[in-house]
Amino acid sequence: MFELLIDGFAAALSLQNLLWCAVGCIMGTMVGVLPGLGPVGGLAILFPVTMVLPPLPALIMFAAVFYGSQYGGSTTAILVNVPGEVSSAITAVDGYKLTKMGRPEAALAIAAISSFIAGTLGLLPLTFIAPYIASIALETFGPAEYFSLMVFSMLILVSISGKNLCKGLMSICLGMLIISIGVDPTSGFFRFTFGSINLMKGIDFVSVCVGLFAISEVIFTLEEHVEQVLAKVKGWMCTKKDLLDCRGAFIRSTIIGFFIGIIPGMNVSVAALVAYGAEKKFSNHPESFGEGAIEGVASAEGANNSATCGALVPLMSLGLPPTASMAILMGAFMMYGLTPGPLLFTQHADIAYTIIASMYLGNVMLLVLNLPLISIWARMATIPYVVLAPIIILMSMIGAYSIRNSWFDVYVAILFGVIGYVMKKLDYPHLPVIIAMVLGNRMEAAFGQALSIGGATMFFIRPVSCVMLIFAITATVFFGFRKHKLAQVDDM
Amino acid sequence: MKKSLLVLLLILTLVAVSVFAVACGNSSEPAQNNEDNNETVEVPEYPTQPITIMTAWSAGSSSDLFARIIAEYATAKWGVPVNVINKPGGFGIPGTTELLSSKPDGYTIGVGGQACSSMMCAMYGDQLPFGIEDRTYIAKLVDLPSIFAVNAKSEFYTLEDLIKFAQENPDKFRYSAGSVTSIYNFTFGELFKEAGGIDINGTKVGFEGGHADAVAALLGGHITTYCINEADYKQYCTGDKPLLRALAVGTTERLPIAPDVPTTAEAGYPGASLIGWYGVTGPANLPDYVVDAWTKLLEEGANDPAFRDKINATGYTLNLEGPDALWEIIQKQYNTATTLIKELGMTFSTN
Repeated sequence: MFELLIDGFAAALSLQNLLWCAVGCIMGTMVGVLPGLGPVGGLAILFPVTMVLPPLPALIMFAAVFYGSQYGGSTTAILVNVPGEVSSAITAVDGYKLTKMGRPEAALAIAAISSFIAGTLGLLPLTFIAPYIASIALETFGPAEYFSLMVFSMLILVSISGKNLCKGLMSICLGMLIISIGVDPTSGFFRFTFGSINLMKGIDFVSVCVGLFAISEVIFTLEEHVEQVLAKVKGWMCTKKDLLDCRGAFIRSTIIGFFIGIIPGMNVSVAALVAYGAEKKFSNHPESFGEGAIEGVASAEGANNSATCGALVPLMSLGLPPTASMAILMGAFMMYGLTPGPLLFTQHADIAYTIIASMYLGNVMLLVLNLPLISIWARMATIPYVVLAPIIILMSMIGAYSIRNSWFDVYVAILFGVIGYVMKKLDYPHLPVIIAMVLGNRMEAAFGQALSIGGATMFFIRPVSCVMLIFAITATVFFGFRKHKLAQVDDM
Repeated sequence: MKKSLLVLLLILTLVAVSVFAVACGNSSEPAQNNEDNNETVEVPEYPTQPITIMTAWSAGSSSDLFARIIAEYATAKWGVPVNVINKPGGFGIPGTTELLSSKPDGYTIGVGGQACSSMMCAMYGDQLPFGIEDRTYIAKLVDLPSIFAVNAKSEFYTLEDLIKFAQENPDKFRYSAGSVTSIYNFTFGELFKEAGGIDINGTKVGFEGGHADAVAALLGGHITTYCINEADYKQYCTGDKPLLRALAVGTTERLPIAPDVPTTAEAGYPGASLIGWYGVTGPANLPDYVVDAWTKLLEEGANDPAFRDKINATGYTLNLEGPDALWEIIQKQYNTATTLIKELGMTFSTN
């Protein structure tokens, strides 16, 4: 296997492959930065390239767009609280606070470094043990485990939902209500569609994300007469102390992100969420999370990169695209007659390993691309807001349209921009709405499937699911009880 | 102070405009098909403008792949840009509705399969703003035979074993039909109708993620059986350590890629023979010259080795048939599906 990997590196270092890898990285960063536009949109635009390019450079480029987008999504999230990707919304929680504190370069640097570490380390299992863990993941993770993991993630979501627990829960409920609009996944019945063809499509969480974060943020900032987000940019790198503080976060987020990523069907945001929650629990100063904790940025960013690597495991070794966005990568493979799956590693091992080798190189390229440019990116925050605001709005509308080529999504984004503004005024957190949408969708489907398969006892008979649920229940009881006791102490 | 207020006003205006647009727009009904008897003396030149191929599924799906292969070929042959636009969501209903509401001038064409035509109409019936007649069927490109498969670690080696298990163990037997509008709902329906004694609704597990999710569940051993397609067969049932085992194929003759797998008829259940397909359709009342141009293009493609290879590389087998043959298939599938729904009391909910 080592020889194959070495051969892979040799091939990946060819000028043509390096060039297309770089193109992919740049393109990926760009689509990551633009709110709403994601790797799906970027790849759909690039797809015609498959007709002119031979398979290797094209697939290398496509893969680069993927992990590149995870690097780019954090940039605008940190600088102007406009997440380029849904998973970056979690980075924005602490990242934007850091910008307001005058340290955007630290956040950007940590985000890039964490992404690099996680992206590189996450590739190791993909290189060496992908086929084995893929099968194990499939067998261990059935619908019951999905549901329990979603419950667990909901718990984490609640714990990071800000100071007012009640308002956080309301936001979660709103998110779950919105995601139920559309076609019921298990029965095909229409829910809350009121006969409208558009509502049948359901509300896409990316357009809500764009609206709630980008558009409402613009409205809110304008009202505050903010001239610029940041007056001056001081450095271009984080301090040594930052790096030391985050060393635990780097490792933890890589591991958590990867293992959540390999579960077929898992969304990268879930990985970022769980890593963030875990980091908060492991931290010496959990109350700083949400107020500009650099570890928060490191954990969220690292997790979403290693989760992308993890997601490639079921794709390449079993041919199962974990999400819709990966499906387009699979489509690209198939256009060349290379079906990802068990046969890819045996019949086309050279291609598989060249792509993997190029991913290592791509991560290096992205680090090089992102670090020196930090001071330039950070200057984005110093642009007068009068100019920045319309640009953000325009980009958001383009991004919202690009999700499904539908004007409806743009209207949804605008509507949620207004709703988000109102929510902000009333002090309701935004993040839980989006994450609840991501979780709720999967949670309901998994619940239905698990019930169909084995009935209600299913959740406790299967060991992994049982452990997660019991943990979630005890954690809720324990922390709830403790909070109650603390509140009593405060009252006295 | 003034500037920010102005921008705020602008945004509110945007919101107001968009609310109006939503209220007043997008409510067109697709054109109803009527008998067309015009004899055109001169055939207008087609195509002269860019063509849009619409698919109701997202980028990377099978429909999308075929759409892109066709688009590439058409662009090369006709010299006009042929673009693929994905309009996913809502199990293909909104995308299909949009296709059928577009102008029948030949510059908007659709690529899809039975999931957004015969099966969708059979399942949703009156709830849809269109029926199977409200469309121009142009050609069928590929066939999608169903292959009944189980996990390689299971104890089933013939279809008979599987059916017996299903009849005797209704609480343990679980099958999936993929997503809601999938044809596998009915391939299993036909099979169970013939076998008898199987609770078609109670043992079904739905996977909203569609085919990939169901295959994942089968690979993980969470469901007992599922139907796979030829591309999956190559991936999972061949090689030294196959992950799945194919029990039967739902066709009239054995498949060339799976010569050892019996047909459902040979296995004792000749009823399960619904074959899926992907093809090209368009809004109703497309002019004849448009249909002719497309059928001619696809025929040329079928004879072109490069095009053929590209299609076969996706794992499906090219089997081109014209508009009349496709219309017959549609009607047959629609009737079979509606009959099955009525006779078996099929519902599309799980419990």
